[in-house]
Amino acid sequence: MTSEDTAPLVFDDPNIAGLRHIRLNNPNKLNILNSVQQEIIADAITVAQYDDAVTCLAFSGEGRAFCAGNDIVTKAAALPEYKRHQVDLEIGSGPIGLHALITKIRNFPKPTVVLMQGYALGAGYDIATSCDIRVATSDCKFGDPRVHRALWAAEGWSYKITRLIPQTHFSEMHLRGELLSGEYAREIGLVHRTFNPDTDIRESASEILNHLASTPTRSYSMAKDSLLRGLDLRFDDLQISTRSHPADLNYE
Amino acid sequence: MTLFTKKANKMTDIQISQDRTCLKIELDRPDQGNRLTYEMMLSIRDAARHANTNDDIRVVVISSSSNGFCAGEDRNDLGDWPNEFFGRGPLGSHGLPPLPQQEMISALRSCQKPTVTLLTGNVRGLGLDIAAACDHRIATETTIVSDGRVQNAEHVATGITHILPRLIGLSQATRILLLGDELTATEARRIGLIHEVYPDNDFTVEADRFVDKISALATRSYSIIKEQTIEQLDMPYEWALKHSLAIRQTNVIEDRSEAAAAFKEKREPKFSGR
Repeated sequence: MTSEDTAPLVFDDPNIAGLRHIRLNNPNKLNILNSVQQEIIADAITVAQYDDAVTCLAFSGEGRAFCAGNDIVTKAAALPEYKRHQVDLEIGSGPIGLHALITKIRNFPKPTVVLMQGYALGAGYDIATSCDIRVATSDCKFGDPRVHRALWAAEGWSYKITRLIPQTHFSEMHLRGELLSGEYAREIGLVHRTFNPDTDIRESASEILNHLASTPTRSYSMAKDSLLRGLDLRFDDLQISTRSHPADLNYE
Repeated sequence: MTLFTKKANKMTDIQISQDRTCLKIELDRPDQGNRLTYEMMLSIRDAARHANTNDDIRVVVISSSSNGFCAGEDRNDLGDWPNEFFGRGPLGSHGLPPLPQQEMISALRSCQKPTVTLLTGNVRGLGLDIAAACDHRIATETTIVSDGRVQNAEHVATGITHILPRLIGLSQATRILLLGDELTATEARRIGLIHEVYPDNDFTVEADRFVDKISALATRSYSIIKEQTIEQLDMPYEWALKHSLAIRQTNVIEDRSEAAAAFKEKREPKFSGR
């Protein structure tokens, strides 16, 4: 299963107040994730959500890659919580645990940002597309080429990708299964900032991390909530749903 | 192998043939700018449906026999109202409903095989709709994409108003449909409407290469990815996740074992498309 030394690290940034890091820490395996590690991350997110001192959550990975995908070799046993949801077909037991994790990231009521170098594939791609802000090195390889393995993804990007960027790019990324460079991903709007791969992404990104950690959290979370709801609601329903937001945002 | 050709006015207007794993639909009405008649629209619809049920077909390609992909529908001569729509074409001030157009676009959009359009010259109106309903749009440098229906006081009622904003964003869709801008291939590529642009001289070679690559993919896997993404355009987030699980648990992809074997043996997989 997951030994202590490859478990994701959770810690507060020593230089940026309010910034909490969740850092994948299995660099020898390019930070591929198994279900126990996913559960550790999910728990850390819950803690950060209710900790008022946390104003921003950053996902990153130790070593050459942010995250190269799911650990399909040493797959951990299903957690009790999800056991009844799993149907054991020849295609495996299903992404129900990852669904829970990415939904938790998506609904996190404070800024979320992902720092990507090397590779962001599979589970890494799913985490990245669930964060608010994506930062990458310009040469970072990005995407989900599952079509080349005669697989497909049930992890939720089929919903997310057409909301994040124009649907036209879905053809090249997921139907042709091409990996994007960080630079191209920025051109089509999927990545917000790119940095030189020669410097550590965690250092190059300090400005945007600082900015997000000092953004008024309540205002941010309400805007985020109505943005995400707005994707699924009719216009007038969205207006009505935002009326319940308190008007006294200035108190922060 | 020629599968079926439709003849209208004693003239062959569209060629549909199968070349190995590729179903080719070629618009062949050059003296009319490849403007579509009802009969041509329904031929395209039937070809897309035929591709769904034929395992050997692993890509559908729509092209034109000469420079100029399609200038729209033939407003002067659409041909007779098709028999199958008997009783559904009311005579009133609104004219005939766009049923053949809509059926063609729906069949292309939900086609279970990869769809590619090879765009040249003038791509306008219903020609734009065909391109937008397909998965991949590749074009020559001299291609011009536009709509023009609003400028001609025509009805835009094929479903393009749903498709286009999702492909390129509402702002650019407004520019094409309402403002009526004519876009060069380069500009169309910049806004994401066209996926690849090739020099006119190399186009045939590059297009063949592109189509060959698509047809070698794991077709079944491809079609499920496409199906779930297009259907999820209209779903809220939570439904979409459930929908993904349901699709996952109810489909079998035979090529998976080939992919696993190839991965193990460190070679390129050779997919059957099933």
